Amino acid sequence: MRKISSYLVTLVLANIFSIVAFAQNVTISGNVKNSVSGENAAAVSVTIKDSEVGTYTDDKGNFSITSKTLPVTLIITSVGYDPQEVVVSSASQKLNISFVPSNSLGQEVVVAASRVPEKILESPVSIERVNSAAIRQAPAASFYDVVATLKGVDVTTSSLTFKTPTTRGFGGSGNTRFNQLVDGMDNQAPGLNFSVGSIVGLNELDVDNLELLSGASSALYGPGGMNGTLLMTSKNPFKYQGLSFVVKQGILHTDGSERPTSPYYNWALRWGKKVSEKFAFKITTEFVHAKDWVGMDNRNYDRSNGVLIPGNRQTDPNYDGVNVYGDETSADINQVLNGVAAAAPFLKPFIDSLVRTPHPVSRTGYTEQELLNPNTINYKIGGSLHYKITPGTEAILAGYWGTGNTVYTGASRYSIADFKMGQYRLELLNKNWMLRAYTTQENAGGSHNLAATTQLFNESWKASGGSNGWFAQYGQAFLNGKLNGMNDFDAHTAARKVADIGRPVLGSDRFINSYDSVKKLPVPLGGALLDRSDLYSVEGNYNLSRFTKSFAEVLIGANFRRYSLNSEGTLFADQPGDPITIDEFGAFIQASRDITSYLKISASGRYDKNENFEGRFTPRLTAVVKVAPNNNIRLSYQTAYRFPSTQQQWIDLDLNSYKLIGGNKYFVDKYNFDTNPVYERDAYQNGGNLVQWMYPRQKAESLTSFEGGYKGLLMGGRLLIDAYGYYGNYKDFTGRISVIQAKNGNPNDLDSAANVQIYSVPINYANKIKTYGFGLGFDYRLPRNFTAGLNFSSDNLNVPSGLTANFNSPKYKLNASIGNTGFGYQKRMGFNVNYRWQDEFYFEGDLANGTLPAVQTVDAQFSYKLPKSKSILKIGANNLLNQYYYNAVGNSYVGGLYYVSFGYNIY
Amino acid sequence: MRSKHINIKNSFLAFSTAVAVLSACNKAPEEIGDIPTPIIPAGSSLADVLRTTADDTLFYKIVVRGGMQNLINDKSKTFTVFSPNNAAVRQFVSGASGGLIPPSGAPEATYVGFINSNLPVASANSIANYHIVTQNVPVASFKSTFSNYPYPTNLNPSPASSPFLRLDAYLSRRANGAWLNNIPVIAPDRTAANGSIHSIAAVSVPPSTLIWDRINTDTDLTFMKAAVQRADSGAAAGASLQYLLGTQSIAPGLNLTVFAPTDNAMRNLLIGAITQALIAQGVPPANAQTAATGLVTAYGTTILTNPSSIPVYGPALASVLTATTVKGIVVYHIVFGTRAFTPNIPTTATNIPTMLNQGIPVHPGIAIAATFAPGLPVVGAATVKGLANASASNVIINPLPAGSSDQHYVNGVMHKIDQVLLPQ
Repeated sequence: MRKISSYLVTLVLANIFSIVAFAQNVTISGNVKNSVSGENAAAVSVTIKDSEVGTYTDDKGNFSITSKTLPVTLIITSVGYDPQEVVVSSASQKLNISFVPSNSLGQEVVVAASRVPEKILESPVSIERVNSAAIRQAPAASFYDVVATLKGVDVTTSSLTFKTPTTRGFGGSGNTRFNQLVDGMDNQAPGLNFSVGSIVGLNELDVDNLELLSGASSALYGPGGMNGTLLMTSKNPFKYQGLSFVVKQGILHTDGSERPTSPYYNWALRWGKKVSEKFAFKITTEFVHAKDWVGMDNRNYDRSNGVLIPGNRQTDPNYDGVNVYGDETSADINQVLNGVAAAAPFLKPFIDSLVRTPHPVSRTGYTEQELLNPNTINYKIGGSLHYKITPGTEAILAGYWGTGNTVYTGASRYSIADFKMGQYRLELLNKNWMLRAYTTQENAGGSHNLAATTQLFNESWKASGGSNGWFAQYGQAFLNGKLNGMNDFDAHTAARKVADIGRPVLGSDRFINSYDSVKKLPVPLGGALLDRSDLYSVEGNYNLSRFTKSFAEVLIGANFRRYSLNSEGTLFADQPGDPITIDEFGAFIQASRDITSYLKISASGRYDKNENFEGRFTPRLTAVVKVAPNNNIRLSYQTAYRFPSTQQQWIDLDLNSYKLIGGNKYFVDKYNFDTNPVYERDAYQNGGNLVQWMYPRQKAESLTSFEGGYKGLLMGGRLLIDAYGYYGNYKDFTGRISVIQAKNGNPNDLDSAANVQIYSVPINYANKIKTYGFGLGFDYRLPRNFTAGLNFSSDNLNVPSGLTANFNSPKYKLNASIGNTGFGYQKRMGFNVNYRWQDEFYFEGDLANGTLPAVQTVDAQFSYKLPKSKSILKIGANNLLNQYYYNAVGNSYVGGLYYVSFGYNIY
Repeated sequence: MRSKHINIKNSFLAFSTAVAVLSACNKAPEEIGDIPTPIIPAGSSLADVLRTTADDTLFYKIVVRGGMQNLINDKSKTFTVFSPNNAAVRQFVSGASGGLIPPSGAPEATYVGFINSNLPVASANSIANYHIVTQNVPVASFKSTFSNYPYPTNLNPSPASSPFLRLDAYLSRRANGAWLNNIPVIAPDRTAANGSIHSIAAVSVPPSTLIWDRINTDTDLTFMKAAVQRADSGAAAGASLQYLLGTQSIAPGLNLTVFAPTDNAMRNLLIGAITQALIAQGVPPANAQTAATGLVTAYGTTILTNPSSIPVYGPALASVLTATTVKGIVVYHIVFGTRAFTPNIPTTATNIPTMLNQGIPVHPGIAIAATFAPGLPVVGAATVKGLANASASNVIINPLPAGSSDQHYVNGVMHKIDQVLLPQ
């Protein structure tokens, strides 16, 4: 083992330091133009055949490349063009290359599927690719929205800028079974556990491509990614140069149902500069500002049973609206009535007649619309420095930093205010190997839990308890109403009016000051999360193929990760100044071989170890069978697993009504589970059985997945068909269970609600959870630059009854699109219309459960190119028909967003 | 060429139209079930019914005089109204007029005129409110077992003290009738949109005084008063029987039933007891009886209040009539937590605990029994028997006003009895 590693080190060093000797350099310069439109073709790769030397055309289509000798053969390639070879025997003249656009499908190269470049048609697993041209033409205000149009993708929209894609089920805000990687960096917030792809990371001008791997991908990308991985790759400044910007101005809330009609601003800028053949840099920035969508589901929710129930604030004294906060505080005013009866015996018989039935009453809440800062702001800045140590080895120092206000849905709705996250990366990149170190630095800023904050805000102006508290006032006023012949409805109404005397008027200085002070106090005194958690990661891989070519292509890699959980005790069980660390490491090897000209197989294995969990080995086997040229059948067997998220391990959050804790053994001591046992809450509630919860050792969840698919070009390359079917089997699926503990240590006293402490603890389900589904997609190139696409997919869950898995995927969904990449005058016009439908399904979430109606949306854009300045004018709409929809119970209602944009130097 | 363009345009249009049609129906969250809303009941209000029913007209005048018609006309609120019929109100007017107006037979305008002009508004208001129970109680809900169930009326005797203060109406029913306190319901369950009306046979005048007020002033209860005072000797003020029986602030809802032996009953007890004591000391029975009668006649209540001050017999009396013994006897006459009107008394002898049980929990209490007048919802005879009594004592049933049974006070009800109850 030691021998091998030292050999590797030598190889790496050799590559870094081997200096190519330039004896007699010749500079070849030229220009590449689109043969049809005559436009300058930017970011076109120009390489010298059989060498590591290469460059790209700049934003004016110009390039220059240095060669040792003449003649040389230049290889000109770019996505969307037919590759071209040019033999250069003299450097005296500027080359003018006419580059022929290709209208053929399926010729793109993907990297994500096998970690080595391969044609998308030959990918061994399901993969979707979105290149920058597709983003340019997409009817989407944000590149991130394009993901939603891909086959098999579900997107959960928490707010305008907070969207969470997933594939193959288990969707929801902050889905931890779907990885998002930005230039190889996991962009999940290490403490808050949601991926922040839409708020920190790339701007649309800087996206080179998106690659979406549906299904298990741990064998290549490590823990997580059980359901899929989205890889976002930015544009290299060596390739993409010049200044580009997009100014997008729009409006939303056009019908005024949530908020007054308001503007939408999205300005993005990118400047890439190749200073020399060795050095390039880029700077990117983006600013988004709008009035956010609002969670408007004010339906009544029965939190203890997890179901929507009839009633509203007027009709149900114990009303608890899904998107209404502060009304989670509930008590039975019979306690108050009985107190009155004890003090005033003459009322006892009357009160006895009233208290025969419970009178649960909730405090008066405020709606999300009333509470939430309507301004969603997102500011991103990023940049990178690229230095070519040798022509084949590039060093990259890059950083992305973002801040903003957005809204996230977890156990409550969270106002993610002044959230800041930075990702910083140092990478050495060679075509044969890669070494990358990066860190994610999270700062939750002023993020706060709306429910907890509002509950505590209510306490701040009038305490719930006490002899003159809100409930005492309510109970007495209710009694008074009943004593005056009122019906229950009027008595409750009158009582609420009395108890709410002194309730701060919305928008008043008193309201604002008081609410602000509560939201700034850390949990559990207020609603603020002081999370400053970080992730440090080092990873590398090496392609040994040049040594193993005769036998197989072999790729090896390893990584190390350290999480540092620092929340000052407001989110995790850490102490101020003493963060919790979690270390993980892993290594993988992959080998692939063309068995015959029509069969390629690959095998990979990966071993991972987390300090809190047993090590896991995850194999993957794939085969690609070429049934005809450009027609392949793929088969794969994969395992995937994920260690419980940092929150599932270490969260320690007091949500007033219950404590949300992690699965680490630490909590056994902290909450004395050894000496004061906990019992399953469900068993106790359904029949009073005391079933002790033994707090078993937490395990990593794993998935075994089989997939088969077909991808092929038909009708002379004009029709691309992609179909897949999968079957997945989850083991040790991680969910949560509620357990109860007697505060006084005596389980016989669990009858008394005041004596019960509820904990929500992670559980690995003993039952197997099965998922299966299929997808079918067609892309068709019509004449005259028309394109049409249709995809249809289905995801299904097979779960034992009574078990909540939060699958959250519609059984069926469909995308249909039609577009044109160039028509009319000089083919300057283009358009794209996308229609999306998803079936109704029953949504299960930590905030609320409920049936989600079917959703249909239409997105559209029309664009006009100004070739001289490489500019594009675009008019577009997300949700064109302004049909408000929501795709998780409790999430924002999303309406139409209409925009015009001007993009300069877009390529 | 041209036609191709049109085709493409048409197909795009068709696509867009299809999309528009399909897409025009995202559903807003559907309400779960129906939102219940309070329904203001249709039909006549309680006030309407009283106003338009011939036999309620006089009571309705009292309601109007007391300013309470709007309350019971509010159909969003629910009440039970006990409506004395016109004959009952005439009887009441007669009493209130000091007999100037006959209980019946005068022109209707006379009664109406009295109510409208002579009945103080405050009184009318109290009476009206005392007949309004602030919930709908059909007779079927009246308590059918001993003794009754208190329901708050709309009468708050002291709103300044607490908005919750209410005088209760004590509702009961048995096989032969139903009662508000001891007043028979003569026409039950007349429904209105916002509650029930029960016609009753008499006006229920709200009590304003306390049991002690009666004992303290009744010339036929001087020995009872003396016994209470003796029982209280040495007791802290807050723990005394006088406090219990005579404190306004704790009165509502105390629900005491006091069986008060008349002076005669007390004298008989004392004479008998002293006679026996003298005989036990060797005095011939005839002499003993004479001496005992003489002592009781001569010293009266002093025997109870200050026995040791009595010449010759003082020490002996004091040793027998200790405060504790007297208290034991007095509390045996008080039922705590129950306001038993005569119709509530079971028709077969039934033991109920008294305040003595607070000290001696196992004591069987007193046995009570009532006999209804044949065919009437009115008790004709009732008895109470102490454990050590040879015979039961009679509740002295007599008619209103200054009566002796069903004497209603803020803190309870009192019945005079003709024997002292002996616990042992």
